[in-house]
Amino acid sequence: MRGVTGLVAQNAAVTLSGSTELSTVATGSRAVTVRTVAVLAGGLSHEREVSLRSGRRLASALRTTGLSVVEWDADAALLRRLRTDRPDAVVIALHGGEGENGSVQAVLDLLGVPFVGTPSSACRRAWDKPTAKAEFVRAGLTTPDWVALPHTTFREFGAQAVLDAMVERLGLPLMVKPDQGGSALGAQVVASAVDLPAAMVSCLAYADTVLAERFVTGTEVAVSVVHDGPQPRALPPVEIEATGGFYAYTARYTPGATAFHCPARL
Amino acid sequence: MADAPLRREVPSTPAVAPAERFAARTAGMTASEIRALFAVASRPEVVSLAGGMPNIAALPLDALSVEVADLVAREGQVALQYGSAQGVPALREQICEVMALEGIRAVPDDVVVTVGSQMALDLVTRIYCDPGDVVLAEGPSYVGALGSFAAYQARVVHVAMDSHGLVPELLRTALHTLAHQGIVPKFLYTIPNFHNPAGVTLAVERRAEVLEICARFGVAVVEDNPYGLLGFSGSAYPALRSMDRDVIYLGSFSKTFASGLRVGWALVPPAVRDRLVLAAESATLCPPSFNQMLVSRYLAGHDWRSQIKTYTEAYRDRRDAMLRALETYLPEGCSWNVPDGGFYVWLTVPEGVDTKAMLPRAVTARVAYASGTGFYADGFGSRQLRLSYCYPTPERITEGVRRLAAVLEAELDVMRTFGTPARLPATPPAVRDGPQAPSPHTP
Repeated sequence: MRGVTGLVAQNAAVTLSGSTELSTVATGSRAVTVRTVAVLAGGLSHEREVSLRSGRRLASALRTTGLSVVEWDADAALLRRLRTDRPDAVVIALHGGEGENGSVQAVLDLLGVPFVGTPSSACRRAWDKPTAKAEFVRAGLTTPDWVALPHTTFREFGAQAVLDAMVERLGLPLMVKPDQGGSALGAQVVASAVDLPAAMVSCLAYADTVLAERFVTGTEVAVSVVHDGPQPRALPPVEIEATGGFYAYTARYTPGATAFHCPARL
Repeated sequence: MADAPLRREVPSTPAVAPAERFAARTAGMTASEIRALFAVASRPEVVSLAGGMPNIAALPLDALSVEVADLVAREGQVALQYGSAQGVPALREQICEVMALEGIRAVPDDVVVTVGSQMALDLVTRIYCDPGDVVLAEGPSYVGALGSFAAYQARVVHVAMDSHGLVPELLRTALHTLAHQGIVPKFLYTIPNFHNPAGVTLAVERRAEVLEICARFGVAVVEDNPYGLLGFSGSAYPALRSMDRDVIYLGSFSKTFASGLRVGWALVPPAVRDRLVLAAESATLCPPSFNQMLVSRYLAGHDWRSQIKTYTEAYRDRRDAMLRALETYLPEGCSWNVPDGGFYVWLTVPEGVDTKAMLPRAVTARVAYASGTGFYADGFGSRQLRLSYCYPTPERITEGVRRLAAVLEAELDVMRTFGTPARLPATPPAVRDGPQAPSPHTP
């Protein structure tokens, strides 16, 4: 898929400013002095490995600011740790699943633990791709035409008839991906209608619902937005140039397989 | 001019990213979705039937810790120093005694100690294979061997197995076909006992025939035998090397003692030995003296034969648990072998199921396996997977297979929805403890 992939991280609950001194963070109207930070990484999502890597990098960057940093997995021991060790703030480096769908954020809210990143409600809207795309449309943004259907729909109405309608409406090639997830896991370009059934089967190994989008070509750009002041602030756009043409899992995590241009050459 | 600053004479060169300097043979060393999924398998919530980790829980750790302390106290000056590239002489003598259990008569001079037998395999491939050379291997074959062959840009031609191991007739056919193309493979790589991943053992009556065929076609034989002493019947099979002194034999203490020590070896003909030692020297200077001396003390001062018996009894219990669970839970259309030693069951799933594509569903269901395609160099094996029973407890194995069965049912349900494949088998294959799925592994 080509398009603007950056999602808006609104209403960040906490922001940390790097400093050799103790950092002060704002949580809504409260100001919190931060001495200890817990970085959450790992978890049980398909993106565990990516998350562990992100977590290590974040933890090491945070340590250079003089903060006391611990790295925790997101497992059954997490709530006990949060209660007993009580970090001043949590940095969520979880990829996929609980870490991105708003669940971990909601748990941290429950415990009253400040965290860096997008609040639970916004996570829920951004994590689910069909929901996010509907939000884009409502906001007047363009997004490739799509349809999202669960396995049960194909089973109940007849897979071939549904696939035919899908191709008739969206054309070929199609971008097929799980409705939730990241790192392009399970995402594939389907050039021919005869390949669609197999693509559906492999996609449904990742999620119960398939998102099929009209395939669009263009320049892929990611824009991160942070909310560290009175208003959200967009960071410079980053252009993604995958050597193999498709920004798939291998292109994302193999050094040298993708060139990043910042600012984007738009 | 002589005083001109040197930097003026050096033309500037454009910046080159490190990745652009990588050798072409590393092209396949990329991030992988499958490897990423295995990161989840390390979590305790997941029953991992994927990895081949030995169960070292039964090791006498208290006695070993005394041994380690004594080794440092009494022989620390030697144990913590560089050593011989070929390995500690005392250990090489003991290795000959270990190999004698499988009928091998050898002298310590022909033994080269390595950092696990994986290193031995790497070194053998290094000294034998140029890019493009052909290596024969069973189909499927050990994934670590395929990795070594790929690293040296050797081409793998698989030869299929049945429930009695490598099929001599198919080996002969493969060699004939290659000969017609003017190709003589550099060697046959074979795991005759309790094969990884297929779990089968080369029938004793086939062993001489395999050696004879290779000799006739001028092909060396590399026998990888990490599991040979882990048979459930209590008696060892005769090694290929016991029948032919030209066989290159790879052995390991990883499964019979402790995998973390990384001590293995190669037993090679004298004509190969010197080159192998030189290759070893350039790779690591010498194998770790400390680890070798610890293994040597273990062999000298502990009842290692009883320890192997303890291991095999545990593995047999786990194999039995896996077989019971497979019989109880798996859907129709699955077949598997019954290994009589080693770590693995090789499972064939119903037609059309792609075990690699199904792995995300399995990980979500908290069970992991090794999909079959990783054990082939040519993309075959999508309908197979390897289950390891060596590490999880029997209870966890049962639970893991139960989860796997549910994953398979769900996958079949989706496949029926989409009609992939066009026709699912109406009746399951009758054979369960029969031949492996036929594979097009003749060249």
